Amino acid sequence: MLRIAHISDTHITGGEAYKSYAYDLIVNEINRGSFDFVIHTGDITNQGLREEYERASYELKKIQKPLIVLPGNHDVRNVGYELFEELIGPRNGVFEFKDGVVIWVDSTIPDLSDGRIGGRKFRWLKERLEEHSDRRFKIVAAHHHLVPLPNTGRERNVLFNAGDVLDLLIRHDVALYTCGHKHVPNVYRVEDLIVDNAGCTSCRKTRRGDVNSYNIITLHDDGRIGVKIRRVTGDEARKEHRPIRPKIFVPSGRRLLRIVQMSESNVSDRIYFRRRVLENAIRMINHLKPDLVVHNGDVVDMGIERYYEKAIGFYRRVKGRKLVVPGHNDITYLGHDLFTEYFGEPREVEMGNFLVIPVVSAQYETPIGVVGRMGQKKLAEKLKENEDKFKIVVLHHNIVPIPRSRELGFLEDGGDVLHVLTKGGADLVLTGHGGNAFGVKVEDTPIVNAGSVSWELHRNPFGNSFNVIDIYRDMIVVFEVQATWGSGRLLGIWKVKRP
Amino acid sequence: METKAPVRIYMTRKLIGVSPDDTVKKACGIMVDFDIGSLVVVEDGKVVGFFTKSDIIRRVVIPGLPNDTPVKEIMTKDLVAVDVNAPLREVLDLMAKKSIKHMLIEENGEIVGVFSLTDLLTASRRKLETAIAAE
Repeated sequence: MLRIAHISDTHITGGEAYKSYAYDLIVNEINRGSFDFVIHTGDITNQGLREEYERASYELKKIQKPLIVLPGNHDVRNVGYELFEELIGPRNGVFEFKDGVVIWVDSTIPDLSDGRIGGRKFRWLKERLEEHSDRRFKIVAAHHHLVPLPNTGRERNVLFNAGDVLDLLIRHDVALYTCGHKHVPNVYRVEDLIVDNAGCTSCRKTRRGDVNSYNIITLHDDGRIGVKIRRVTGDEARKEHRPIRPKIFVPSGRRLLRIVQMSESNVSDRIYFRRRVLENAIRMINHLKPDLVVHNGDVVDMGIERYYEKAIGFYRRVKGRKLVVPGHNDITYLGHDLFTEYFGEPREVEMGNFLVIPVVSAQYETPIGVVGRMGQKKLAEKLKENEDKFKIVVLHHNIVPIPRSRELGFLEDGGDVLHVLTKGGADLVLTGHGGNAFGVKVEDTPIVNAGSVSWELHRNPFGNSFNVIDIYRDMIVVFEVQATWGSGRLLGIWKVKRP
Repeated sequence: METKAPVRIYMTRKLIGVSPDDTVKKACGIMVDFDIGSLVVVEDGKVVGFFTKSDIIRRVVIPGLPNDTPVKEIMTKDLVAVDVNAPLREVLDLMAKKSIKHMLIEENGEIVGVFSLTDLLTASRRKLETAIAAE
């Protein structure tokens, strides 16, 4: 067993932002505890100033355990990244321990609060992961968060390329991603990756009236990983996960439901709209005989009558039950009215024990979406009321980062919505933004994004596609189908509770 | 595609399988439904056998066995696997030499994945890179 203390966002300064008593309290606790080492995930200083770095250097020496420190966005203000290297240590590096490795990477962008792990750093991280592939516990540490967090107000500053980083970490079987930044402690399981966010150790700026805290990570000999959020009040919250390997699926019983999921058809007369690809996709979809066809939005490229007229023509050719939620393109110009006129208000679909809940997240003439506080409440209530049902939530915007897309707050309350969905026990979430197909399970909720079905401006190396989602008694199987050639590839498969 | 990278990042890690007593017909149905060319045979959560579409041709169709033959009678029991940390080029080299389209992948003595030519095609298109900035 190995224990790691994870601190973050100390914001050491002579000013009001820094709570020295909270820092001393936590550091004393760490020094007294049986910790093998300590990770500080950045924002050691408040403004990256020399006097702050000098004080931080002194304060950090109080920690009597091996210490890994990496820079946060506050540390690189005022060219503080030079001082970080001079007074604290390297901004990127590798720390090896028995059975494992911590690879820390500087995710900051000077003078911006946003983060990214750009090309060279990404390759450096990838090479380090390849080098240490045989380590049982691979831990990656950076300042910025990877998955939207609840209770942080407006979701922002997730790594610009969080989708690419998430994909890299999952494919390398990284066990743990530690980060800070948002001053909110949180632990999510994304497939077998634990995303461990520390709250703030000693900054005055806590959220929702919370107190300072740090996280305790335990790596067990049997592969289990536990994370305990420990607040200065002594309150504790724990989570634990044991990766299951091998992951074996033995199909049994008949298929209970088949959904075809598509998005971003962007019907228009623009050159980027691939009419023949959409026609081909519709032929394939009808051949697949789905129980429900879900369109996750951006049906038209612009909310104008001529495009809606074309779109409804395609839509009518799709046989069977259909559910369409609007994307941001659909409600531009007169689109808000036209969408309802042509496609109607998105309504719940009930099929036996399956309940499909549409959520409208598009905002007028901005690609950034919102569910809103009232919308979240309504969604939480709906999930609770239908506890016994198999609940499928359909919306346009992403709630987890998608590889190759740039995460710039596509859903402004993404953190809270993700929390409502995972905590409320949504059994499946379907989204359709970002132009790339992706599937990942957060906590117990599989989240599947559809690529673009017929729009040339996409980000999918496999081209235009749609998803086929088959639900069995004990598992969900998602195939991505290439919209031109009809070839399929398994996008995801997850065990689920009995629908 | 980087051939020095470990095969773990390219392999299929969610394995689809059948039970030893399942029939060849059922197994073929699963292969068609899931559009895959191989299946693992699972007993008590462990992989105990493996077979591919070509094994079915060789061991069932040509000898004229009925399609209700249990898979345990036609599966490969002596499993050959490479380590999950083996570089892709080594795996490809081995697959070329053995002239096989599927390779089982193991970690700590347990089968945890399978790498097929389809995975190779996927790997060739889906690069582990970021376009966000050169930095």
